[in-house]
Amino acid sequence: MKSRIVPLLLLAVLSAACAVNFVSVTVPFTEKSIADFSAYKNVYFIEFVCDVPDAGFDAGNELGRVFSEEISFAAGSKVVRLDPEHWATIRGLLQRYRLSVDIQYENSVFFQKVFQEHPRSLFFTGKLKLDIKKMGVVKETRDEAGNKKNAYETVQMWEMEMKVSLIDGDSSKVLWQQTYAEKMEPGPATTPQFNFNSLLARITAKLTTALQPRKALQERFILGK
Amino acid sequence: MKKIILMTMGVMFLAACAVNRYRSDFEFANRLAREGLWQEAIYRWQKAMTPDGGSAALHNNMAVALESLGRFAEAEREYAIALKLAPASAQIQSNFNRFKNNQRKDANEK
Repeated sequence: MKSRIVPLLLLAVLSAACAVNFVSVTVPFTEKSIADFSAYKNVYFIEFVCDVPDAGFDAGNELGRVFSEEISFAAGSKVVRLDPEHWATIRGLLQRYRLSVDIQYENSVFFQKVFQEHPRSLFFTGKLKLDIKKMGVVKETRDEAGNKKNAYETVQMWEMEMKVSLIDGDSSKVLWQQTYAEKMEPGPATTPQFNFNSLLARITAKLTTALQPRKALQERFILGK
Repeated sequence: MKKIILMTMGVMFLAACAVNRYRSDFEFANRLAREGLWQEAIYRWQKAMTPDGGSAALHNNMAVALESLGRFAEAEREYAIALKLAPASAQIQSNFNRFKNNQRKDANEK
Protein backbone atom coordinates (compact mmCIF):
# COMPACT_ATOMS: atom_id res chain seq x y z
CA MET A 1 0.00 0.00 0.00
CA LYS A 2 2.72 2.39 1.09
CA SER A 3 4.79 1.61 -2.00
CA ARG A 4 1.87 2.65 -4.23
CA ILE A 5 1.15 5.89 -2.44
CA VAL A 6 4.69 7.22 -2.57
CA PRO A 7 5.05 7.29 -6.40
CA LEU A 8 1.55 8.74 -6.69
CA LEU A 9 2.35 11.50 -4.23
CA LEU A 10 5.62 12.10 -5.99
CA LEU A 11 3.88 12.41 -9.33
CA ALA A 12 1.32 14.83 -7.87
CA VAL A 13 4.08 17.01 -6.46
CA LEU A 14 5.93 16.89 -9.78
CA SER A 15 2.92 17.88 -11.83
CA ALA A 16 2.10 20.70 -9.42
CA ALA A 17 5.64 21.98 -9.59
CA CYS A 18 5.78 21.95 -13.35
CA ALA A 19 2.19 23.02 -14.10
CA VAL A 20 1.73 26.11 -16.21
CA ASN A 21 1.42 28.93 -13.74
CA PHE A 22 0.10 32.35 -14.50
CA VAL A 23 -0.34 35.68 -12.80
CA SER A 24 -3.08 38.20 -13.35
CA VAL A 25 -1.90 41.71 -14.17
CA THR A 26 -3.74 44.83 -15.20
CA VAL A 27 -3.10 46.80 -18.33
CA PRO A 28 -4.36 50.33 -18.93
CA PHE A 29 -7.09 50.71 -21.47
CA THR A 30 -8.18 54.16 -22.58
CA GLU A 31 -11.45 54.31 -24.39
CA LYS A 32 -11.62 56.59 -27.35
CA SER A 33 -12.95 60.05 -26.67
CA ILE A 34 -16.26 60.95 -28.33
CA ALA A 35 -14.40 63.36 -30.59
CA ASP A 36 -10.85 64.45 -31.23
CA PHE A 37 -11.29 68.09 -30.30
CA SER A 38 -7.71 68.94 -31.21
CA ALA A 39 -8.37 68.02 -34.85
CA TYR A 40 -10.79 70.93 -35.26
CA LYS A 41 -9.98 74.57 -35.81
CA ASN A 42 -12.81 75.79 -33.58
CA VAL A 43 -15.34 74.39 -31.17
CA TYR A 44 -18.54 76.39 -30.98
CA PHE A 45 -21.50 76.50 -28.64
CA ILE A 46 -24.79 77.47 -30.28
CA GLU A 47 -27.33 78.48 -27.70
CA PHE A 48 -29.76 75.72 -26.73
CA VAL A 49 -33.47 75.82 -27.41
CA CYS A 50 -34.79 76.25 -23.88
CA ASP A 51 -38.19 75.55 -22.43
CA VAL A 52 -37.77 77.06 -19.00
CA PRO A 53 -40.48 78.76 -16.90
CA ASP A 54 -39.92 82.42 -16.18
CA ALA A 55 -38.55 82.31 -12.65
CA GLY A 56 -36.05 85.15 -12.61
CA PHE A 57 -32.93 83.53 -14.04
CA ASP A 58 -31.35 83.46 -17.47
CA ALA A 59 -30.96 79.81 -18.53
CA GLY A 60 -29.19 80.73 -21.77
CA ASN A 61 -26.56 82.74 -19.96
CA GLU A 62 -25.90 79.96 -17.46
CA LEU A 63 -25.54 77.41 -20.27
CA GLY A 64 -23.16 79.74 -22.10
CA ARG A 65 -21.03 80.03 -18.99
CA VAL A 66 -20.98 76.26 -18.47
CA PHE A 67 -19.87 75.59 -22.04
CA SER A 68 -17.29 78.35 -22.27
CA GLU A 69 -15.73 77.52 -18.91
CA GLU A 70 -16.38 73.97 -17.76
CA ILE A 71 -16.85 72.21 -21.08
CA SER A 72 -13.82 74.03 -22.51
CA PHE A 73 -11.78 72.52 -19.72
CA ALA A 74 -13.22 69.00 -20.15
CA ALA A 75 -12.78 69.02 -23.92
CA GLY A 76 -9.30 70.50 -23.71
CA SER A 77 -10.30 73.00 -26.38
CA LYS A 78 -11.76 76.47 -26.10
CA VAL A 79 -15.50 76.49 -26.67
CA VAL A 80 -16.60 79.76 -28.26
CA ARG A 81 -20.16 81.00 -28.05
CA LEU A 82 -21.64 81.46 -31.53
CA ASP A 83 -24.76 83.46 -32.14
CA PRO A 84 -25.71 82.92 -35.79
CA GLU A 85 -27.99 85.43 -37.47
CA HIS A 86 -31.71 84.66 -37.02
CA TRP A 87 -31.01 81.92 -34.47
CA ALA A 88 -32.79 83.87 -31.71
CA THR A 89 -35.94 84.06 -33.88
CA ILE A 90 -35.78 80.38 -34.82
CA ARG A 91 -35.23 79.44 -31.19
CA GLY A 92 -38.26 81.49 -30.21
CA LEU A 93 -40.38 79.61 -32.74
CA LEU A 94 -39.10 76.23 -31.61
CA GLN A 95 -39.77 77.05 -27.96
CA ARG A 96 -43.46 77.44 -28.80
CA TYR A 97 -43.58 73.77 -29.75
CA ARG A 98 -42.35 72.91 -26.25
CA LEU A 99 -39.23 71.23 -27.62
CA SER A 100 -41.13 68.37 -29.21
CA VAL A 101 -39.50 69.21 -32.53
CA ASP A 102 -36.21 67.47 -33.13
CA ILE A 103 -33.85 69.45 -35.35
CA GLN A 104 -32.44 67.47 -38.27
CA TYR A 105 -29.08 69.19 -38.47
CA GLU A 106 -28.08 67.38 -41.67
CA ASN A 107 -31.13 68.66 -43.53
CA SER A 108 -31.58 72.06 -41.95
CA VAL A 109 -30.86 74.90 -44.39
CA PHE A 110 -30.11 77.19 -41.47
CA PHE A 111 -27.53 74.86 -39.92
CA GLN A 112 -25.98 73.98 -43.28
CA LYS A 113 -25.27 77.69 -43.76
CA VAL A 114 -23.78 77.98 -40.28
CA PHE A 115 -21.57 74.94 -40.85
CA GLN A 116 -20.36 76.24 -44.21
CA GLU A 117 -19.48 79.60 -42.71
CA HIS A 118 -17.32 77.89 -40.09
CA PRO A 119 -15.26 75.16 -41.74
CA ARG A 120 -13.30 72.58 -39.73
CA SER A 121 -15.44 73.22 -36.67
CA LEU A 122 -17.33 71.27 -34.08
CA PHE A 123 -20.64 72.51 -32.75
CA PHE A 124 -22.31 71.91 -29.42
CA THR A 125 -26.01 72.55 -29.44
CA GLY A 126 -29.18 71.01 -28.06
CA LYS A 127 -32.22 71.70 -25.96
CA LEU A 128 -33.00 72.19 -22.32
CA LYS A 129 -36.30 71.65 -20.59
CA LEU A 130 -37.14 72.56 -17.04
CA ASP A 131 -40.36 71.59 -15.32
CA ILE A 132 -41.33 72.93 -11.92
CA LYS A 133 -44.03 70.64 -10.61
CA LYS A 134 -46.03 70.90 -7.46
CA MET A 135 -46.49 67.77 -5.45
CA GLY A 136 -48.53 66.94 -2.40
CA VAL A 137 -46.61 65.02 0.22
CA VAL A 138 -47.44 63.74 3.66
CA LYS A 139 -44.82 64.68 6.23
CA GLU A 140 -44.55 63.53 9.81
CA THR A 141 -44.53 66.40 12.32
CA ARG A 142 -45.04 66.74 16.07
CA ASP A 143 -47.65 68.85 17.80
CA GLU A 144 -47.11 71.00 20.89
CA ALA A 145 -47.57 68.02 23.15
CA GLY A 146 -44.85 66.12 21.26
CA ASN A 147 -47.24 63.68 19.61
CA LYS A 148 -46.55 62.55 16.08
CA LYS A 149 -48.96 63.65 13.42
CA ASN A 150 -49.09 63.58 9.66
CA ALA A 151 -49.37 66.89 7.83
CA TYR A 152 -50.14 67.40 4.16
CA GLU A 153 -47.74 69.77 2.43
CA THR A 154 -47.17 71.02 -1.08
CA VAL A 155 -43.58 70.91 -2.29
CA GLN A 156 -41.88 71.73 -5.53
CA MET A 157 -40.20 69.17 -7.75
CA TRP A 158 -37.71 70.55 -10.27
CA GLU A 159 -37.02 68.35 -13.26
CA MET A 160 -34.40 69.20 -15.84
CA GLU A 161 -33.76 67.42 -19.10
CA MET A 162 -30.93 68.38 -21.41
CA LYS A 163 -30.25 66.92 -24.83
CA VAL A 164 -26.76 67.70 -26.08
CA SER A 165 -25.60 67.19 -29.65
CA LEU A 166 -22.06 67.40 -30.91
CA ILE A 167 -21.93 68.02 -34.64
CA ASP A 168 -19.08 67.86 -37.10
CA GLY A 169 -19.70 70.91 -39.26
CA ASP A 170 -17.93 69.73 -42.42
CA SER A 171 -19.98 66.54 -42.69
CA SER A 172 -23.07 67.93 -40.86
CA LYS A 173 -22.99 64.64 -39.00
CA VAL A 174 -24.07 64.32 -35.37
CA LEU A 175 -21.01 62.71 -33.80
CA TRP A 176 -22.57 62.25 -30.41
CA GLN A 177 -25.92 62.89 -28.79
CA GLN A 178 -26.98 62.32 -25.23
CA THR A 179 -29.94 63.18 -23.04
CA TYR A 180 -29.39 63.85 -19.36
CA ALA A 181 -32.10 64.20 -16.75
CA GLU A 182 -31.97 65.30 -13.14
CA LYS A 183 -34.59 66.11 -10.54
CA MET A 184 -34.56 67.63 -7.09
CA GLU A 185 -36.88 68.76 -4.35
CA PRO A 186 -35.53 72.18 -3.37
CA GLY A 187 -35.37 73.33 0.20
CA PRO A 188 -37.81 75.97 1.42
CA ALA A 189 -35.26 78.78 1.51
CA THR A 190 -33.48 78.28 -1.82
CA THR A 191 -33.79 80.73 -4.69
CA PRO A 192 -34.87 79.68 -8.21
CA GLN A 193 -31.40 80.65 -9.48
CA PHE A 194 -29.79 78.34 -6.93
CA ASN A 195 -32.13 75.47 -7.82
CA PHE A 196 -31.50 75.89 -11.52
CA ASN A 197 -27.74 76.07 -11.06
CA SER A 198 -27.76 73.00 -8.81
CA LEU A 199 -29.54 70.90 -11.43
CA LEU A 200 -27.36 72.25 -14.21
CA ALA A 201 -24.22 71.50 -12.21
CA ARG A 202 -25.27 67.86 -11.78
CA ILE A 203 -25.88 67.49 -15.51
CA THR A 204 -22.65 69.32 -16.32
CA ALA A 205 -20.74 66.84 -14.18
CA LYS A 206 -22.18 63.96 -16.22
CA LEU A 207 -21.45 65.76 -19.46
CA THR A 208 -17.84 66.51 -18.60
CA THR A 209 -17.34 62.86 -17.61
CA ALA A 210 -18.70 61.77 -20.97
CA LEU A 211 -16.42 64.16 -22.84
CA GLN A 212 -13.24 62.96 -21.22
CA PRO A 213 -11.75 59.68 -22.39
CA ARG A 214 -12.31 57.04 -19.76
CA LYS A 215 -9.30 55.30 -18.37
CA ALA A 216 -9.94 51.77 -17.28
CA LEU A 217 -7.89 48.77 -16.30
CA GLN A 218 -8.28 45.38 -17.88
CA GLU A 219 -7.07 42.03 -16.70
CA ARG A 220 -4.46 40.05 -18.59
CA PHE A 221 -2.51 36.93 -17.73
CA ILE A 222 1.24 36.66 -17.87
CA LEU A 223 2.50 33.13 -17.89
CA GLY A 224 5.34 31.42 -16.08
CA LYS A 225 7.64 29.27 -18.19
CA MET B 1 15.96 0.63 -4.33
CA LYS B 2 13.07 1.42 -6.63
CA LYS B 3 11.83 4.02 -4.17
CA ILE B 4 15.19 5.69 -4.00
CA ILE B 5 15.43 5.91 -7.78
CA LEU B 6 11.97 7.40 -8.00
CA MET B 7 12.65 9.91 -5.27
CA THR B 8 15.99 10.90 -6.80
CA MET B 9 14.29 11.42 -10.15
CA GLY B 10 11.63 13.52 -8.51
CA VAL B 11 14.11 15.70 -6.71
CA MET B 12 16.14 16.16 -9.90
CA PHE B 13 13.01 17.09 -11.85
CA LEU B 14 11.93 19.59 -9.25
CA ALA B 15 15.37 21.07 -9.19
CA ALA B 16 15.37 21.36 -12.97
CA CYS B 17 12.06 23.17 -12.86
CA ALA B 18 13.29 25.58 -10.29
CA VAL B 19 16.73 26.34 -11.72
CA ASN B 20 17.45 30.06 -11.52
CA ARG B 21 13.80 30.67 -10.90
CA TYR B 22 14.14 34.28 -9.93
CA ARG B 23 17.42 34.92 -11.58
CA SER B 24 16.55 34.12 -15.15
CA ASP B 25 15.63 36.99 -17.39
CA PHE B 26 12.24 35.49 -18.00
CA GLU B 27 11.26 35.29 -14.37
CA PHE B 28 12.76 38.65 -13.61
CA ALA B 29 10.76 40.17 -16.46
CA ASN B 30 7.59 38.60 -15.06
CA ARG B 31 8.30 40.24 -11.73
CA LEU B 32 8.85 43.58 -13.43
CA ALA B 33 5.59 43.16 -15.33
CA ARG B 34 3.70 42.56 -12.11
CA GLU B 35 5.04 45.92 -10.94
CA GLY B 36 3.87 47.55 -14.17
CA LEU B 37 7.43 48.17 -15.44
CA TRP B 38 6.57 47.12 -18.98
CA GLN B 39 9.52 48.64 -20.85
CA GLU B 40 12.04 46.92 -18.63
CA ALA B 41 10.06 43.69 -18.80
CA ILE B 42 10.13 43.75 -22.61
CA TYR B 43 13.88 44.23 -22.56
CA ARG B 44 14.30 41.21 -20.28
CA TRP B 45 11.93 39.01 -22.28
CA GLN B 46 13.78 39.93 -25.46
CA LYS B 47 16.99 38.83 -23.75
CA ALA B 48 15.31 35.58 -22.75
CA MET B 49 14.31 34.87 -26.34
CA THR B 50 16.04 31.73 -27.63
CA PRO B 51 17.34 31.39 -31.21
CA ASP B 52 14.35 29.20 -32.07
CA GLY B 53 11.98 31.97 -31.04
CA GLY B 54 11.00 31.31 -27.46
CA SER B 55 8.03 29.77 -25.73
CA ALA B 56 4.33 30.55 -26.00
CA ALA B 57 4.48 32.09 -22.52
CA LEU B 58 7.25 34.43 -23.56
CA HIS B 59 5.36 35.63 -26.65
CA ASN B 60 2.14 35.99 -24.65
CA ASN B 61 3.88 38.07 -22.02
CA MET B 62 5.56 40.24 -24.64
CA ALA B 63 2.15 40.78 -26.23
CA VAL B 64 0.62 41.90 -22.92
CA ALA B 65 3.49 44.33 -22.35
CA LEU B 66 3.28 45.74 -25.87
CA GLU B 67 -0.48 46.10 -25.53
CA SER B 68 -0.16 47.99 -22.29
CA LEU B 69 2.31 50.36 -23.99
CA GLY B 70 -0.13 50.96 -26.84
CA ARG B 71 1.99 49.14 -29.45
CA PHE B 72 -1.00 47.25 -30.76
CA ALA B 73 0.34 45.99 -34.12
CA GLU B 74 3.34 44.37 -32.43
CA ALA B 75 1.11 43.02 -29.65
CA GLU B 76 -1.16 41.35 -32.19
CA ARG B 77 1.84 39.69 -33.86
CA GLU B 78 3.06 38.36 -30.52
CA TYR B 79 -0.39 37.06 -29.56
CA ALA B 80 -0.60 35.28 -32.92
CA ILE B 81 2.74 33.53 -32.33
CA ALA B 82 1.77 32.61 -28.77
CA LEU B 83 -1.51 31.11 -29.93
CA LYS B 84 0.24 29.21 -32.70
CA LEU B 85 2.61 27.68 -30.16
CA ALA B 86 -0.07 26.95 -27.54
CA PRO B 87 -3.50 26.98 -29.18
CA ALA B 88 -5.13 25.31 -26.18
CA SER B 89 -3.98 27.85 -23.60
CA ALA B 90 -7.05 29.38 -22.00
CA GLN B 91 -5.04 32.31 -20.63
CA ILE B 92 -3.53 33.28 -23.98
CA GLN B 93 -6.91 32.91 -25.66
CA SER B 94 -8.54 35.10 -22.99
CA ASN B 95 -5.85 37.79 -23.38
CA PHE B 96 -6.20 37.73 -27.15
CA ASN B 97 -10.02 37.90 -27.07
CA ARG B 98 -9.98 40.96 -24.83
CA PHE B 99 -7.32 42.59 -26.96
CA LYS B 100 -9.38 41.99 -30.10
CA ASN B 101 -12.52 43.31 -28.41
CA ASN B 102 -10.74 46.59 -27.66
CA GLN B 103 -9.50 46.79 -31.24
CA ARG B 104 -13.02 46.24 -32.56
CA LYS B 105 -14.41 48.96 -30.26
CA ASP B 106 -11.78 51.39 -31.52
CA ALA B 107 -12.52 50.53 -35.13
CA ASN B 108 -16.28 51.01 -34.61
CA GLU B 109 -15.75 54.39 -32.99
CA LYS B 110 -13.64 55.54 -35.93
